Amino acid sequence: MSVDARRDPRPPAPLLAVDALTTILPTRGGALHAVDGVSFTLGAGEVLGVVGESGSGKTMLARTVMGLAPPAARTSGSVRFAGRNLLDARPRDLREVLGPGLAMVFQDPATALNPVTRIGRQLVESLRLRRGLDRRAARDQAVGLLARVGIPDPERRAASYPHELSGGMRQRVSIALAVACGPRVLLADEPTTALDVTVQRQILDLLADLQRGEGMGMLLITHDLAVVAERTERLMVMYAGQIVESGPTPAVVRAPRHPYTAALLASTPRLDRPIHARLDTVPGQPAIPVDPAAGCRFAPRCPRAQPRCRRESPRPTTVTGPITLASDAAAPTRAHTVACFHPTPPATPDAIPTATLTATLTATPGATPIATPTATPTAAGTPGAPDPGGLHGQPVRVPPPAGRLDAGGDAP
Amino acid sequence: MATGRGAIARLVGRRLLRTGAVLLLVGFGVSFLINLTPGDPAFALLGDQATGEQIAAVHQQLHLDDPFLSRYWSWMIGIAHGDFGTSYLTGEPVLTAIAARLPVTGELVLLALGAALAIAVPVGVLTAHRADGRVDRAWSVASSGLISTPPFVLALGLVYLLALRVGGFPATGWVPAADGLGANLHHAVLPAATLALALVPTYSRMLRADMITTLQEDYILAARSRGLPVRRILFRHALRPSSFSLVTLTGISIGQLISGAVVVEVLFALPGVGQLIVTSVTAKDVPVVQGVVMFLAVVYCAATAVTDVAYGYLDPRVRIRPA
Amino acid sequence: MTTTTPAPDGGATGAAPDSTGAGRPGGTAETRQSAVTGTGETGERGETGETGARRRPGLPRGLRGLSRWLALGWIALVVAAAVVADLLPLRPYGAIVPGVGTRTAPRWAAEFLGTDAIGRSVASRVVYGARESLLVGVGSAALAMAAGLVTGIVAGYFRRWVDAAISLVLDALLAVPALVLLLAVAAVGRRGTVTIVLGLAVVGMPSFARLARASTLAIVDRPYVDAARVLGTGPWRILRREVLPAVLLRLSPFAFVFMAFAVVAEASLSFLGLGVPPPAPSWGGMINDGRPYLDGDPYLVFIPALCVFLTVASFTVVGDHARRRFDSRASGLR
Repeated sequence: MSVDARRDPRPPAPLLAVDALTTILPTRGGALHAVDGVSFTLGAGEVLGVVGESGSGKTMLARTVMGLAPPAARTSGSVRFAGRNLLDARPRDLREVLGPGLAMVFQDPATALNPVTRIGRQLVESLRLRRGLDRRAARDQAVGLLARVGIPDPERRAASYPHELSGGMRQRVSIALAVACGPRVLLADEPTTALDVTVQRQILDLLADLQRGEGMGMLLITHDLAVVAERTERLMVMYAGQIVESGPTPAVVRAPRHPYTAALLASTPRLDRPIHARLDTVPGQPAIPVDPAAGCRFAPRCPRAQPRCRRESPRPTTVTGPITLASDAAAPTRAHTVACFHPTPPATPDAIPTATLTATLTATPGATPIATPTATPTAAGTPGAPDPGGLHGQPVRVPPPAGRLDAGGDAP
Repeated sequence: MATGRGAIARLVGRRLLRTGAVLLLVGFGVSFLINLTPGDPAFALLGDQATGEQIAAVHQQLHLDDPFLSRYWSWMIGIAHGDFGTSYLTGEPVLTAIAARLPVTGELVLLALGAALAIAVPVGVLTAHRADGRVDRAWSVASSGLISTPPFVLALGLVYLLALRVGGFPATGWVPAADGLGANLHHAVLPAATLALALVPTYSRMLRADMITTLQEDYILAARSRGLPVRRILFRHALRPSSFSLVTLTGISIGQLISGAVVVEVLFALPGVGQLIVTSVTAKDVPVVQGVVMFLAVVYCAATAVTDVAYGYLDPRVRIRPA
Repeated sequence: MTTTTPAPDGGATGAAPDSTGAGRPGGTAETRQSAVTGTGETGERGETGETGARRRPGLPRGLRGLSRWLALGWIALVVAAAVVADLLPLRPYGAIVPGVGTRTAPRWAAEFLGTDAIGRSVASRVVYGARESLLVGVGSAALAMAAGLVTGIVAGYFRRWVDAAISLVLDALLAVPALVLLLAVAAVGRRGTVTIVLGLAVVGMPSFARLARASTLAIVDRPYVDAARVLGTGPWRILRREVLPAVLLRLSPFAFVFMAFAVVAEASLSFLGLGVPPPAPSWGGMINDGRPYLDGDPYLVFIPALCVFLTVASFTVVGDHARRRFDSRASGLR
């Protein structure tokens, strides 16, 4: 986040604007609403987190944004990248954007690399075809990229097959492949889930370093709330295909308003709790939105559910933050919003009667935000400029040591 | 990290050992053939009017009075030295007879193999890419029909249509490549096409099935996410990891090709190895039958062994942990 | 990598019976593997409902059902013709039809499938040829299946050196191309149906044995077999009571595929002039006899050829269907 953004109250024109994106997949059981009305924006140099359990539709969201939804899927809404709607773009035009515009890092590097092709060749291919480099330049560039992502001895490693590398090394290679064409937006889909715990941090540091170095916008998708808490400015919580809560990371993490977010937080290990403290789990099974009926999808698992929650679907409502026109696609994510009729009270749980809360929350735009200012100190109208205070009282992003990365940290 | 070379050497070594054992057994069965002939094998060779003298000569020539195991062993030693036996009827060494006819069969088999792959690979890739599309369904019906058509029926159909109705291709005969490549190929078109068409359905279906699996892999999605052209993804990224079964099948189908060549050579009157074995069987020239069977078994084993090793090269993962 | 020789059950290729008369019936073991890995939708993919690998070329369900009924109908017709051939109002297959010349084209009134080069009734020869084809197909399938069943189960149950020895013998049998092996048997045997049946049984036995061995390996590890063993049941009793029925069920679809192969192989052999000796009719022999007249009287070739084609296609369709039904039942149990 640049200093300028702090001075300029207006948000910059977003690089990527997703509006009311819906992906419906036909299954044997019925129509699966894998992504259901998701809207967000992402600016250059910004990091947006997406958190949710497995099966909440995070991966399908990323694939739909990339135009890589399964052929059988029905999609609606819009994905505007640099002003162009990718959702109805011709395949040829979409392909132009993929690589230099949008790029993606996949969850499991063991399956995301072609097993029968040397990694150098895979890089060279992208560089030659998509950036028009000649053989020699592409070769040099490939070695440079491998060095950049922290592969030791890149000259020699370029001749390796994926199965000859460790998991962390493979993920570095797949990151190198993703950033080879200098994308402006990087979608990182659970980039550390398949990796050893010790390697996860290194990969996240690498991504953060690349993101800042190239000024990329990044969508960091994870099921691990601790990861987004540390490394994102804003976050969205996804449940059963829908965004149930979103807003500046510190605000959401310190004062979660959706019962689901609160439950997720309670199930996340935290440094400020005793080491052996028992973690709460979210009770019940994640909902699978096949032919979803009206009503809040979390209601069956929600401790705060009321009859109304089962009848009507809650719409995202601004809890605190800048009040913007509803037509501004950016609004839902710049402010702290929650889709819940009976949100968790912000500061002192159980203190405020639910009825009061609801009444206040559903007030028209312009009403005084009910969130306690102490809980979200930066919520007073500086959109996109979150407080540099995170879950652990650390800065939002932990900058890795400048310059060279922890290369070779996970060498086999 | 295990070096690929050592693993491959081990792989080849084990393969060779097993192939050797298999060939020893084949030889056992083949030399036993003559014991299976009802009555005195000499009668089968000479006919009923043979004199005692002639029969004694045959017995000596074929070592019929030796114990079976010693006959087997000396026959195998002969094979190892390139002596595949001698025709009883013509007195010609079997290997010489095979060598004279091998160019025809070899050309036929290689042409058919090449043509079959040249057709089956694009068809398999495209039907997998557009699985359940119109082309896929149409090809599914057509290939079912082809699979159920015996090669000699296919050949007669081709002859009827292309040689007799449309014209332009010779219905029978062979011109050696030495007498002009054009005429040679012209005569080879119909027989080779027959053999190729019999293989295309199995090849393309095998590739299609594996390709559909491959196309669902993450690395294909990753390649698409890098904006690579569809054609490149299909033929460069997906084809190779999808082709393992096809390579194995290609090796195996050498056997099918040889069987097909037997029929096709007789039908088109081509002077090949197939023709040789059929005339020998008709004439009850058992030594030639034995020699040719053994020779073809060697060829088949060599072909499958080569594909196994090729498999190792094709899939780098095999080199680390040989299956 | 033990897939150097073909195994029955074409797996992914839809039992791709290369019943083209040349190769062995069935695909490869590799196919079976890929079919297994391919159908298992897992994790995120299954969850997102991506319609899984639609592995077989999709015929509309209705069309597939129709083709199955047509196949069963044709097989029924061939069986009926073969069984009651002597009762049908047919002319003797070896006799010349009086009052009609040689090579008379099919005509309803006189001789409805025409006469052959000598003047014999094509209709009669086709019907009696069906008997030969069916006899060879059923006979060799039964023999090959019985022999394969025993060897395969023994190899799969006793494993160790028994398995190693049997596998080597099977490999040796498979190392000789099918038609060549058949020719080798024909070279030493007397010409006739018995030799053909025996030869085909030798050719087909390894494929049945491999399939039986694989099925046995899968069954022997199941709890109820373990339970029987713990209870002190002897091996032969376990084999007979527990293993044999299950393996037989698994093998039966392949028997149809093999019959398709056998029909082609018999026709090929007859076509090469090494089948049943004349004047006995067989489809392959009729095709061979008609070859010189392909230009002027193509029906002499294409009527028996059509019979071969329809019979092979029917056995293939039925075998394919049986296998699919068996597969779905197996997966339903698990």
